[in-house]
Amino acid sequence: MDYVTHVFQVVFGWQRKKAEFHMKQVHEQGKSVLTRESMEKAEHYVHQLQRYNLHATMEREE
Amino acid sequence: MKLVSSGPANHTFLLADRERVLLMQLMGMYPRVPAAHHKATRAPTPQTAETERLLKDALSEQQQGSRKIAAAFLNDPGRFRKREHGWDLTLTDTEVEWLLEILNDIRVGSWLALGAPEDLESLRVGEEPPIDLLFMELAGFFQMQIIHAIEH
Repeated sequence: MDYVTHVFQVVFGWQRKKAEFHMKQVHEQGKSVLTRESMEKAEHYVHQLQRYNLHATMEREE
Repeated sequence: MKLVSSGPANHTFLLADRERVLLMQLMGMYPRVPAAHHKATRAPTPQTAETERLLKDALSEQQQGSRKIAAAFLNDPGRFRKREHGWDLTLTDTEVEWLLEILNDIRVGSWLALGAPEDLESLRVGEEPPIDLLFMELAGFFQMQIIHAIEH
């Protein structure tokens, strides 16, 4: 879980507290909405998270 | 494995003989996660096919780069320096991130090789735990040591 927090901090530049909040959501609910971005930026983040081998996808907002 | 010194641009860890051997063995297994494992979206459509392809290409390219770095790391005789009670391993910030990526690939890939089980406890209690469980836990151990060292 520390690894997930670490990756969120590196990829999004978040403070530890925010990264831990999303890590806990993932741990407890199985997922977390990390960011809302344009298609290009979302692709970038998905790639960054996946290169760390985190399960990340992008979904169109409903 | 413990952090012995940390400068503005690099970190030096001290590894016991056995830890060094295990770390090298784990790194030699990279990559373990199949390229097809990752998906760009949970519900692929014809519109997302191009994104899917681009993502797969990017990950594959990145994996090839990491494989070369891992090979160079394993073949560099100066990478570990012998000390009285173990081995020094000095890593830059970039190398630390890269090593974390490699270790997580081994950890996740080993978990996938086990069949992606939700319940790991039942695997741990057997007389002879599956070898992939040991790889998974060893990679996790090194990850934790590195993260705790650089963050605290």
